[in-house]
Amino acid sequence: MYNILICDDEKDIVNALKIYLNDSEYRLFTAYNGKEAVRMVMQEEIHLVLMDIMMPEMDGIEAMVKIRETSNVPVILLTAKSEDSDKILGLTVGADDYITKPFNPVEVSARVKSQLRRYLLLGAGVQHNGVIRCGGIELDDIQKKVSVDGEEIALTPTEYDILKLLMMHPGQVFSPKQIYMKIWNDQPYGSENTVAVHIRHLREKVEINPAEPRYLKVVWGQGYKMEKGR
Amino acid sequence: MSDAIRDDLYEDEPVTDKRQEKNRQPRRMLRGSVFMKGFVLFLLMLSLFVAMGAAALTYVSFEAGFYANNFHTVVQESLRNNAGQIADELSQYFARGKHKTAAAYLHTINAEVAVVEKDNQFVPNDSVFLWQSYAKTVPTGFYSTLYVDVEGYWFYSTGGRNYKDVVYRVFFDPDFEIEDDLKEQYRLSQYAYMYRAVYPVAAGCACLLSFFCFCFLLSSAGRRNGREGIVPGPLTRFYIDVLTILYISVSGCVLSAADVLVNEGWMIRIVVIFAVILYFVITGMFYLMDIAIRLKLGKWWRCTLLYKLWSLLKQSISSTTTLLSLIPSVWSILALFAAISILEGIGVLFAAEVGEAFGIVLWIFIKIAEVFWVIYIGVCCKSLITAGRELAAGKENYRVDTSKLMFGFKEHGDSLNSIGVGISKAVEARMKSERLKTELISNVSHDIKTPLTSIINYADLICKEPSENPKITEYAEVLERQSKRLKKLMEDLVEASKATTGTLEVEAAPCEVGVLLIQAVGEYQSKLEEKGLELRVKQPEQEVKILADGRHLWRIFDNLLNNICKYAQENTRVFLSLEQKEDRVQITFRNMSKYLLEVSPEELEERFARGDRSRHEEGNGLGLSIAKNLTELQNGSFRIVIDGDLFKVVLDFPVLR
Repeated sequence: MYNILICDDEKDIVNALKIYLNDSEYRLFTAYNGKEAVRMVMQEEIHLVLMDIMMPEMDGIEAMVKIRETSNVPVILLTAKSEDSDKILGLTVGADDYITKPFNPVEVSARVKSQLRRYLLLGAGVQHNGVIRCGGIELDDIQKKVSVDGEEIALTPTEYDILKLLMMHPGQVFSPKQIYMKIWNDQPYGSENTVAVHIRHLREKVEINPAEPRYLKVVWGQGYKMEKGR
Repeated sequence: MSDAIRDDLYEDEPVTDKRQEKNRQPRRMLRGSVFMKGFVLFLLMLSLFVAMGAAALTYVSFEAGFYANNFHTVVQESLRNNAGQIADELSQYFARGKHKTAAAYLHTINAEVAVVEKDNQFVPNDSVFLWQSYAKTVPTGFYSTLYVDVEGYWFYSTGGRNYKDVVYRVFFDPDFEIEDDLKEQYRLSQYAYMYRAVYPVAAGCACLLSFFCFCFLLSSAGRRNGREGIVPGPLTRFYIDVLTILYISVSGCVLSAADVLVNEGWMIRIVVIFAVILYFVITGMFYLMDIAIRLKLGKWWRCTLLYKLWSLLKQSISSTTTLLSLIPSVWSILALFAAISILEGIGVLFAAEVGEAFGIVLWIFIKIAEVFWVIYIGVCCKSLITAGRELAAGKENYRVDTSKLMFGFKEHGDSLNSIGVGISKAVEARMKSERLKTELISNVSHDIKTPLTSIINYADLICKEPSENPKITEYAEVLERQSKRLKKLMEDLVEASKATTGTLEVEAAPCEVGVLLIQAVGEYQSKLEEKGLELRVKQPEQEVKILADGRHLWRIFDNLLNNICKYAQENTRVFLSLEQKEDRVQITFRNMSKYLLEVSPEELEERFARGDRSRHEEGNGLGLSIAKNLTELQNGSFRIVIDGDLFKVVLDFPVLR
C-alpha cells in the first residue's frame, strides 16, 4: 500500500489523476495548495508527492523546499511551465521528476511507479557481481537480463550489447561510428544509420517517454550516452 | 516709447507671492503715503541745510581755535587782525598829515594807540596833539594785557617824506564802551564760543537725520498705498541712460548759471546757493528714487537705450545670417573663394610694391593659415564619411562628435546623428514589441495548458469508459485527437515566437552534421517506413563540423522530417544529402509532394503557412517558420525550392575549421 499525495489547485486535474492512479496498491491523498501539501507530508506517511508549481498561497517550488527540509519522499512536479529554465529550477530544488502539462496519463502512472520502486524497493546501488546499475536500469551480464525499475524488458542481442557498452561508461558520449566499430567489430562504411535505428528502438524499450529520455540520452550532432546514475 | 518699455518692464514681474498677498489687506504703510514722502523730502532738505550750516560753523570755530584755546586767547587772536587794520588806517592818516582826523577816528572805536619806537622809546614829541595825553605810559583804564603790537612807519614831516620804523601798540577797551564793529564782533565771538560744542553735534545729528530721510525715501520709492508691489514712478518710463545724461547736462547748466550769479553780491549769492542746493536735493532725490524703483522692479537694463540698440543689432545680425543662409552654398563658397582670391591679389600687388622677399614670406604665412583649414575640412569630411559608413553597416548607435565640426559639416553631422537616433528608436521599439509578443504568447500558453490538460485527460477517460454507444467513443477520440493537436500548436507557437525574437538561448558548440544526420535517420527510420517512404542519405567521407546548438539543430531536422512524413507522396524516395562546398556546408532535404504546391517558397516560410490550401492534413504551419528562424539564429541560411512536385529545403551553414 503506497500513500500518494496529489496536489494541484485545479480540482478537475486532481480528479483525473485520481482516476488514472486508481489502483488497489495506492491510497490517494489530495491537497489544493502548497501549504496543505506540506502539512500532509508532515502528518501522514506519504510515499510520493505529485505536485503542481503554480498554486495559490504557497507555490510548488516553495512547498518543495519545505518538504525537503524534513522528508526524503520522491516528488514529481507536474506543471504547465515547460521552459528549460523551469525544469532546471524544479530539479535543482529537489524534485525527482518533472512532467509538463498537458501530460500523458500513461506516462504519469509509469513515472509514479518508477519513482515508488526506486524509493521503496530498490536499495541505493548494492553492486552484485556482473550487475551494472544505472538509475533504474539494471543489467545482469551473467543472466543477460535487463530490467527497468524492477521490470524485466526484452532486448535483442545487438540492443543488449549497445546498452552494455553505454552503461559500462556512464556519461561518456559515443558516436555512432564508435559504437558500430565496438559492437560489429568492423568499419561502418555508411552503415552508422543502423546504430541510430537500434538506439531509437532501445530507447523506446527503456524509456518511459522516448522523446524525453531519462537514461539513454541523445547528444545531437555528437552521439549517445548513458546518463550518470542519479 | 513709453508703452513698449512698460511692457518690457512688466512682463517679467514676479508673480510668485501674488496669490498669497491677495488674501491679505494691503497694509497701510508710512512708506506708501505721498504726504509722508513729501514731508520727509522737506525734512531732508531742512536737515541738510542744518548739517551744512553746522558743519560750516564747526569749521569756522575750528579755524578760529575755539576748541584749542581759551576765550581770551581767541579774542586776542581775532583782535590781532583788527589791530593791523587800525594801524594801517592810522598810518594812512599820518602820511597825509591829518593827525586830527586820526584822533577823531580813534574816538569812534574801542581802542587807543601808542606809537613806540623799536627800542621801546616813545616817539619824540613833534606830533602835536595826539599823543599829549598818552605820551607818558600805558593809558589808564584800558585792559593792559589786551594790546597788540603792529610794526609800521611813523611819518613825522608833512607829506610823509620822513619816517621812522615804529611799533603801533593798539590797546583795546575790554568793556567795549563804544558801539562799533569791534564790539559787535566781540559779542558774536562770545556767543559763538559759548555754543562751540553744539556745532559738530548738530552737524552730526543733521547728517544722521538726512541719511535716514534718504534711506526712507529710497525704500519708499515705488510703494503706494492701495497698490500691490512696486508701482513705477513718473520717470520710470524713460530710458535710464538717456535720463542720466539729460540730468547730468541740466545740472551742469544749472551749476554754470549759478557760478555766474554767485559773483553778483552776497544777497544773491546766498539765494543762489540755496536755490542750487534745493535743486540738487529735490531733483537728485527724484532721480535716485527712480533708480531705486527700477532696481526693485528688476531687469533695469532692459529699459536702456543701449539695450534697445543692442537687441536691434542682434536682431539685424540674426536676420542677416538667415539671409546669408538663404544664399545657396555654391554661391557662398564662390563668394568666399572670391574674397580669398581678392585678398591674395592684394597681397601680390603689395608684395610687388614692397619686394619679393617680403612677398614670399607673406605667401608662406597665407599657406600656413590655409593648410590648417584644409586639414580641418578633411577631418570633418572623414568623420562624416565614417559615420555614414557605420550607419549603413547597421550600427545605429554610432554617433558623430559634432562638437568640433562647424558650418555645414556640423549640420550634416547632426542630421546623421538624428537618423541614427531614429533608427535605434525604431529598432528598440520593434524589439520591445516582439519581446512583449513572446511574453504574451508564453503567458497565454501557460494559462491555456491547464484547462487543456483537463480536456485531454477527460477525453481520454471517456474513450476508455466502456460504452454501449460506439459513437460516444468515436466522438471522444476526435476530442482527444484535436486537443492533442491544440497542445502541439501551443508548444510550437511559443517556440516560433521565441525563435523569431531571438530570445532563445543558443549554446553554440562544435557539432558534427554527419552524426546528426545519422541520428535523425535513426529517429525517423521506422516512421518513414510506415508511410512507405524510402530514405536515401548521402554524405561525404570526412567529418564536417559546424558551430551550432545541437538541440536547436535537431529541432530543425525534426520539423523538416516531420513535414516529409506528413506531406511526402507515399512510396517515393526521400533524399537527404550533406555536401561541403569550400567553407560552407549544405544540407538538403528533398521529397515529392503529395499535394499540388501552389504557393511560393516565401509564403511557405511565413508562420501558419501550409502547402495544402484545404488544410486537411494534421499540422499547424509553424514547422517551417520555426526551422527557418532557428537556422538563422545559428548563422545559417534556410532556402525552400519548389520545382513542380519536388519540394526541397536547403540549409547552409559555415564550416567550422
